[in-house]
Amino acid sequence: MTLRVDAINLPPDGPIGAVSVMGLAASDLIVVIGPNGAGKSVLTLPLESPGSAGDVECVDETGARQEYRSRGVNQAIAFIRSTQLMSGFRDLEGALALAANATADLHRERLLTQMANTDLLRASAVESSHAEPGTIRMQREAYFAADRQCGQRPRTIDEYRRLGQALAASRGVAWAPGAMADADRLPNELRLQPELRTMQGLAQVRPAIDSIRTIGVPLAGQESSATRLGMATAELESSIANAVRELRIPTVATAMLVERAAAARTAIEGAIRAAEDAIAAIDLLRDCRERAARYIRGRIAAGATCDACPVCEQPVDGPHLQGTIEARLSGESPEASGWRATATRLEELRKSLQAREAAYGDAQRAASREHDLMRTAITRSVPNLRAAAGWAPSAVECAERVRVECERWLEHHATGPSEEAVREAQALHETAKSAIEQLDRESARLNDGLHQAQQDFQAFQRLGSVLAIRAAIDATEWTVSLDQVDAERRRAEQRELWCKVLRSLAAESQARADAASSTVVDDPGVQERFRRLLARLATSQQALAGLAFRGSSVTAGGEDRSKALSEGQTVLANIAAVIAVVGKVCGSAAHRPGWIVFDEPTNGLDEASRDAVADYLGGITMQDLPGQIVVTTFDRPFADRLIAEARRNGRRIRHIELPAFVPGRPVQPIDRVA
Amino acid sequence: MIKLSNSTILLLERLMEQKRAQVFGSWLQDAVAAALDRMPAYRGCFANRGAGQPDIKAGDTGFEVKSTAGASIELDTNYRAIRGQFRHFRLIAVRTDIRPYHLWAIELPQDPPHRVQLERRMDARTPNDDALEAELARQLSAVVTTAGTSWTDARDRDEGCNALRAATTALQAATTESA
Repeated sequence: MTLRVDAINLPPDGPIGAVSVMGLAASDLIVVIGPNGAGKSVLTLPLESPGSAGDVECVDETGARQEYRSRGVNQAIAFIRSTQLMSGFRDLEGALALAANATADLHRERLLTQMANTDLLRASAVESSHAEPGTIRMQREAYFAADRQCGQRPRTIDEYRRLGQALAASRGVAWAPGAMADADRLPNELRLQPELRTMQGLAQVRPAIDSIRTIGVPLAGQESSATRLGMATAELESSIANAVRELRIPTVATAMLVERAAAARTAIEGAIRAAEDAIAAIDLLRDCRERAARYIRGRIAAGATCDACPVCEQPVDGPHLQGTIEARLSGESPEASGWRATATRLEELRKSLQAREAAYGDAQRAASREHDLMRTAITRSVPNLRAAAGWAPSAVECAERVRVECERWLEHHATGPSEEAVREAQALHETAKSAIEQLDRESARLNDGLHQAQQDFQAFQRLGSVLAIRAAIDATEWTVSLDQVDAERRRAEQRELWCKVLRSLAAESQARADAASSTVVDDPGVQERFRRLLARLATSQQALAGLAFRGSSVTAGGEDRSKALSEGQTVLANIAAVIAVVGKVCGSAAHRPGWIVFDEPTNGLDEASRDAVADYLGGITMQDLPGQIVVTTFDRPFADRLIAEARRNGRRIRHIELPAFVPGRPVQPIDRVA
Repeated sequence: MIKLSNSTILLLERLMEQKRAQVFGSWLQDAVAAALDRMPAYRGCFANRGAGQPDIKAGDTGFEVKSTAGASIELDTNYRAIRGQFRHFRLIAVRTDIRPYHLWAIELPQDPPHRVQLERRMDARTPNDDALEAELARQLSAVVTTAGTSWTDARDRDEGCNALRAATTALQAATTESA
C-alpha cells in the first residue's frame, strides 16, 4: 500500500535544529528552495533515512497515519541525488534490484565480496612467525657498512690478531685481543694507535738555530756593506794622498781617517783661496796697466808730452812706455793662466774629497747596521744553544756546533764591521743551515713507517668493528619453527581457497541480481513508460528519441548511446529511467514509499538543460508516477519554471522556502504560494 | 636441517637482493664448493660451473646445490642417470622463503624421487646427514663471513670466486699457523 509523506519533523539536536513541515500529503509536487547551506538536504534526508535524521509521518490510501520506518535499498530508489542523475545509469543498480525483488542477491553479493576482501582473511601470519629480531635489524646496515670498509681483507680474528700484534710490536707494547664488545675492544685498540714521534730538544734547538739562519747575512758572492765600506775607505785614502801630494802638506799617520780627510780638505780650501787672491792681484795689476795706457794715450793725443811717470813722476819715454804697457796688455799673462789652472784643479780635488767623505760616511753607517744585526742575532742565540738534560744526541751535537762558532765570531768581530766578520757570519749561516737539515732529516727518520702504521691501524679498527658487530649478530637468538611456518603456509593456502569460493558465490549472487534486474529492464511496462517519457522530449531533444533503457546504459538500434549524450540529456534520460522503474514498484509491498526525492537535479547543467529538466519534471503526471515528487534546489529560476509547468499540468504543488541558516536561530520554513 | 649463522644469513640475503634468484643459486654453489673444500673429506672438490650436473664432484661423491623459496625441490629425471655415477650423492638445499635460512644435506638414494620435501624430519628414503650439515654450515659461515661484502658485492661471478678463494686461503693460513 502506497504511503504519502505528510509531515517531516527534524529533531532539536539536528544540524539545523527542530523544524517541522506538515500538511504535505495533499501535494503531488513539493519544491524545497533555499540557498546553499540552508538545510534543504537535511530537511529531506528523513525521506531517505528516517530515524536519527528525523521522523516522517505518512498517510496511506485509507487516510490512516503511520510513521515511515523503511530502511535499506528502498533508500536507493526514494532519494536520487544529482550525482546519480549524471552518472550514466550505473547508479540505478539498487533501484533495479529492488524493482526485480533481487535485493537479497545484491546484498549477498556485497557481503561476500566484503568478506573475501577482509584483512582477516588476507593477512598472512607466516610473516610474523619468522620476523628478523630487532637487534639484528638495527645492526644489519652497520654490519654491511663496516664490512665494506674492509675491502679485500679477510674478516677473521686471526687477521685482526696479526694486525694488532704488528702494531703492538712497532710501539713496543704487549697486546692481545680481548673481549669484542665495544667497551672493552675500543680502549684496547686505541693503545696501539701510532703516534707522531718528536726528537727531544728539537723544539728548543730549532728556533735558536733558525734565528742564526735568518740573520740576513749577504750570501756568498753578494756585495756586503762591509765590502762597500772597504772600497769607500780606499777611495777616501786615495783622495787624501792626492791632496798631500798636490799641496805637500804634512801627514799625520796616527790620525783617524776622517780627521785626515778633514785636514786635507781644509788645506785644499786654503790653497784655493790663495790662488784666488793671486788671480785677483793679477787682475788688478792689469787694470792699472790699462788705465796707465789710457792716460798716456790721452796725453799724446792731446799734444802733450809724457815724459814723467804719472805714479812716481820719474822721467820716462812716453811713447816707449805706452808701447811696453800695451804689449803687456795683449793676451792673458802666463802667470794668470797658471793660477787659474791651479785653482780649477784644487776645486776638483776638493769636490772629489768631499764626495768620498760622504760615501765613506754612508758606507760606515750601513756596515755598522749590518754588523749590529749579525751581532745581536748571534748574541741572543748563544744562551738558547746550550744543551739541556734529556735532549737527543743529535740536538745536542747540532746545538754545540753552532754555539761554538757563534762564540768564536763574537770574540773576533764584536768591535765593528769587517769583511772578515761577514765572511765568518756566512760560514756560521751555512753551519746553521746544515744543522737544521740534519735535525729535520733525523726527525723525519724517527717517523719512518708512520703512514703505513696509521693505515694498518685503520684497517685493524675496521676489522675489529666488523668482528664485534658480527659477534653481536650471531649471538642474537633468531629461530623459527619450520613446522609452524609450513602449517601457516597451508592455512594461508586454505584461506586463499575460501576467498576464491566467496568471490565465486558473490559473482553468482551478482549474476542473479543482474538477471533479475534485466527482467525489470525488459519489463514491457518499464520500457513503455521510458519510451513514453522520452517521447515528450523528442522535439527538443532529438538525441533522446528512440532510446531504449538497458539497465546500465541506454541504446539506440542495439548500440550503447550512454556516452554520446550530453550532461543535460543524461539527466533527463536518468529521470525517465528512474520514474519508469519506480513506477513499476511504487506502492508495492516491497516498496511502500510513494515519493521520490530529486536532490539538486540541475547541478552542473547549463541554462537550456536546466529549463529542459524543469519542463520535464513539471510534466510528470500521476499516470507516469503514482506518487509524490520532492525536488530540492537552490536555483530559483528553475524552481519558478518547474512550478509553472506543474501548475499548467494540474499538479498540486507545495512550495517551501528555507531562509539562509544562521546558527543559533531557529529555522522557519516559509510556505510560498505556488 | 640446520640453521645458518645470523651473519651468514644477512650476507646471503644481501646477495639475494643484489643478484637475482637464478644468479643467487650459482653463487651459492661457489660458496658451498669453497666450504666443502675446507673439509678434509672433500678437499680438492671440483665445482662444475657450467650447466652440467652435478654441481660439485668430490671423489665418489656428487653434490647438487639448490636454493628454493618453498618447501620442496623438484628433481628432474636426469638425476636418476647421474645418481648412478656416484657412490654417494648429496643434495645441499637452502630454503630462502623462511628466515632465518636453513640448510639441508640430504643423501639421495640410487633411485631418487621426483620431489624432495624439505621437512624438519626427513623421511627414511631421503635422510639428512646431521654431521655433514653441522660441518658444512660451520665452514660455509666461515668462508662467507670471511669474504663478507667483497663476495656479495663482487661485480661478477669470477670476482666473487676470487673473494671466496682469498677467504679460504686466509682461513687455511690461520689453521696452519694455529696447528
